[in-house]
Amino acid sequence: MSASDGGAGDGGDEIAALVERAFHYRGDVTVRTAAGVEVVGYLFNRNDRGEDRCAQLFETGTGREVAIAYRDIRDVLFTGRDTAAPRQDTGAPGPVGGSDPEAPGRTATTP
Amino acid sequence: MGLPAAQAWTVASYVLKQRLRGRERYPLVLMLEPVLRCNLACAGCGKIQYPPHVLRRALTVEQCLAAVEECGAPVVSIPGGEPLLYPHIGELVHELTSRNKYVYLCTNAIRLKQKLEEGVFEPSKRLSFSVHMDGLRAEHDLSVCRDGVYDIAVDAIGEALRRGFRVTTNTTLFNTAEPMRVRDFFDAMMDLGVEGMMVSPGYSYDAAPDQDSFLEREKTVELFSAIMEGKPKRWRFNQSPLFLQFLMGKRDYECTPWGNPLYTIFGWQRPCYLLQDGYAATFSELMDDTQWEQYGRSSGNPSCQDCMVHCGYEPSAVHATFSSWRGLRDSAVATVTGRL
Ligand code: SF4
Ligand code: SF4
Repeated sequence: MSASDGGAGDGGDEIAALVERAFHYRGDVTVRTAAGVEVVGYLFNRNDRGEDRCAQLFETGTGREVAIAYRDIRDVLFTGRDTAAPRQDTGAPGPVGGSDPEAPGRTATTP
Repeated sequence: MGLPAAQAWTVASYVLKQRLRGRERYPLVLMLEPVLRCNLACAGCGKIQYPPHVLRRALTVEQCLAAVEECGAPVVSIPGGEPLLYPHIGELVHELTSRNKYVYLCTNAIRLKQKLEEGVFEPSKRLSFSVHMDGLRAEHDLSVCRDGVYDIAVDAIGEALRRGFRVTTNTTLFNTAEPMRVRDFFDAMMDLGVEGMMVSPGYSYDAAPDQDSFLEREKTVELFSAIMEGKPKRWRFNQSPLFLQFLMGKRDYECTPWGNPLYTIFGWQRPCYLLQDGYAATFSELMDDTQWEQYGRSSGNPSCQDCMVHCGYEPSAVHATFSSWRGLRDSAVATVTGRL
């Protein structure tokens, strides 16, 4: 889902709803800004009160912490895998055998 | 019950100081998560489901110490993720204990023996390894979704005790728990020689894979009554006896979500360890700007209705202990007699 699916209207409430959904999403998202920039990262927080409403992300790749004002956001795309969803390949839930990214390939019965 | 006198005194004098200052909301235990990654993926855990670049992140020791300073709680619990995967864990623990904080390092113990052999930690009356144990071998290995972890943890507990460390256990019980097996498990932990045990009903994390095993309130009371009624005196718990009585349905409390605040790579989590409604940049922002009235059972918040977890209710029990002579007396009686 994105703001461009089904019409964005004036965007304000819809962007807030998208940011809210992205905040609860356990995967990376892509934020498209009015300036045509795309920021890919994990949206870990949002400040949705007051004048300075903004979304905060850890950018994938650079690791930079980025804050983007709601008024600058045109769209949010759910582009990364939802890590809280059951795994497609095994049917098992979430990461298998550990979430340590330095230890890939571990299985549930291999210490 | 199982709390060393010096630690009990530190906590008691801290609480009394806060009350004398007329502070309405104050933290008791800071939950500090320097990393979110783990070397297990337990079915009931909702802490670790993040993209790899997020799991690779870690707080710096300076960020951790600044959070500890700002919060001011006398006890720091380091859950996770698995804190033994944090590269600076030895330095962090050393800094905390030298600041007179009581530290509970919550670990699944897979790497504990190795870290002990490497000399990463020094025994201290202020440091306790709080080993994740969800039951006897069959139940624990099932809970952590990996065979052999119970034996690894038991071995590591023995090693830590031999080296003079304080060791406690932390247990989360789900609706699959069988009271008699849990009682046998508590006996087994006491036989190992741990200082005390901590127990809590399962958290209903939205992100946890196994959503069917979380306990509702009535079932929590039923389960804890069956386990704790007539408990042997030798079982020692490293937590408030009034909280255990609350779990047995003998007391009713309202949640104290600010009692165990959580600081992670995302900031100060609102409102509690369990719910993720957002993050504050500073501790004072967390305390001052969180709409606390929206949380707890009486708020009507659906996420809070079945919750009886320790991070919300143990601080309520501690508060009750020190807010009346009766609370103090009941707590003292349960501690001395071992009866709940
Ligand atoms: S419950 Fe603890 S040991 Fe299990 S996956 Fe979560 S953080 Fe790791
Ligand atoms: S009742 Fe439970 S979920 Fe609700 S605020 Fe308290 S600890 Fe958090």
